[in-house]
Amino acid sequence: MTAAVIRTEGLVVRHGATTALDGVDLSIESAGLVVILGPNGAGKTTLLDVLLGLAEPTEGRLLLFGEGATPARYPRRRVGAVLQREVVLDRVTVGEYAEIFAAIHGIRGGAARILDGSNLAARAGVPLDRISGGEAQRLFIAAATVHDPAIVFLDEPTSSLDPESKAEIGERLRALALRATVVMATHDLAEAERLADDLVFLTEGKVRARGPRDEILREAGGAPTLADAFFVLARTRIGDRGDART
Amino acid sequence: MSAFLVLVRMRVYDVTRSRASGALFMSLPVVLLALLALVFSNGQPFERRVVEIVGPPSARREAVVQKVVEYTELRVRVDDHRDRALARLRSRTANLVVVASPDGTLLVAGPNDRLLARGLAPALGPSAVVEIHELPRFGYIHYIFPGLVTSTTLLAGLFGMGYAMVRFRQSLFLKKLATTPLSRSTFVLALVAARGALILAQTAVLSVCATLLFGLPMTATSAALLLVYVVLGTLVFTGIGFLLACVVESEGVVMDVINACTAPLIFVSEMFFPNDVLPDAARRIVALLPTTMMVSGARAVLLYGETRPAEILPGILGLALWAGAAYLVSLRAFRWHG
Repeated sequence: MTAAVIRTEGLVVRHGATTALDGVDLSIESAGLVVILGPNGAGKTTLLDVLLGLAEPTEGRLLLFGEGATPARYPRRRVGAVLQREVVLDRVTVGEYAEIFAAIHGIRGGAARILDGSNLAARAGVPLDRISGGEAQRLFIAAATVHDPAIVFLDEPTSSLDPESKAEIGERLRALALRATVVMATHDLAEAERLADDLVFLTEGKVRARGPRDEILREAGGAPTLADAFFVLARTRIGDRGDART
Repeated sequence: MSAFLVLVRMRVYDVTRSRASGALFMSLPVVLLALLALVFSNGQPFERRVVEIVGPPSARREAVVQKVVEYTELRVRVDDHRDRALARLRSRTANLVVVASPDGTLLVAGPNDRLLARGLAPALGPSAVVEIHELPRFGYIHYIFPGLVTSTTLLAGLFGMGYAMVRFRQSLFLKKLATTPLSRSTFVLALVAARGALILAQTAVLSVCATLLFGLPMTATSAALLLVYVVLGTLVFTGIGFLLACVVESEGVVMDVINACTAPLIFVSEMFFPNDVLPDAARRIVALLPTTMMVSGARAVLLYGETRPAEILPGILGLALWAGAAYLVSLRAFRWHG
């Protein structure tokens, strides 16, 4: 039996009296695109922070590639990340941004690869705050994957993009999912439906449903669309239904 | 290019990318130097004249001290080293040097204090001799120069590290870097190196201007020792800035804290004015501050030609201790993100 690429066991994260994650068990075994869905405050970003080794769980543990991963001991060379609010540093140009992340990952020729991969070679001298949201997101994804990571985490990568840019980024993520395990948090249901191989529905810090689209619809009592399922699952309190399969 | 160099370049470009901000960064201290030169071109602004009494400890020296302190309009300082006192005369922080030796009493003053010297001489005995020396017009600027270097290093270090780090944290750049294999030591060293390069360039420009325009005496040895102080000062002040950034989370608060720290330091650390008016206890505490260590060390090597290890090393070791302590505490307190 192959070890899961990503595995969480009983993750609990508490911030004072607030429980952000409440016993999350997940197992993701192969390349593909997993979308984490949930309403605001469901714990998506907290879960991604733990998966990225940025936060230590209060209880439970994270395993990547079959080994325990903590903020102090984390396989960062095998993981890439695009954060919810990516940084647009003052006055840094597209080319410099590419150089920074290529150099951090120690990839010779990596800057050119990032620029080519994001179709921004001609805009290398333009400051980051002068490029469009779609261009910026292409750049961030190319920079986060310049080292060919086995896992890529993205937190709402298309939240502020127009439909055309969303579609373009979606295509890139689908292509990326052919060679890496891509885990993306979003509350864009149409995008989740279009892109996801697998969905994880999170609410109140717990996994409420997990599986392909049709399984989520069944979990939501035969909801006709993912949007309907979202509302059903989001409004159903944990105690009303019993824990979902994870 | 290594991650270290790319980050160094990024931070240097932060300042130099815009010609205006680069030029401003490099020229502001020079403008300040010129303004101070204008203000103090006729000496220092204290009303009470300063008399330095020098000579080996002896009954003769003590008798001269007792005589001069009777004149309450004079401030009296006693020193064993004649050269140091004369250097203070040249830098206009002393008005009159009285050399009390068994052979007699010599009063040395600049042209502006001719009357003071001649008026005081009879009170010190019939054998007292007066010498009037020509003094550098911008002598007080020579005194101020090490203070200016220290204050620019202090401000550039605190703002360059403290403010920048808080801004990086608030913009989530640190969080982004935390998702990469970049080590915190590489990141912090890159920021320090970038700031250090800018401070050294700034100091070089300032030194050239001070030497060419205002006749600052500088030798290869004093320049090399000044470099040591600037490097150590950069480490200390970026370290303290880094520490502030580890405990203060908002840009506004870190600015306020830096401003609140720098203003008193500038006034008590002898950067621009002698602090001998402070009570002894306060002076002992002030002497332990890194700003005082840097400014008094730089002043000793530049103005008094000090090269003796016994005189220089305590200050250098003190600065090294400050730097080590600041980075030790900061690196323990450092978090990539909240």
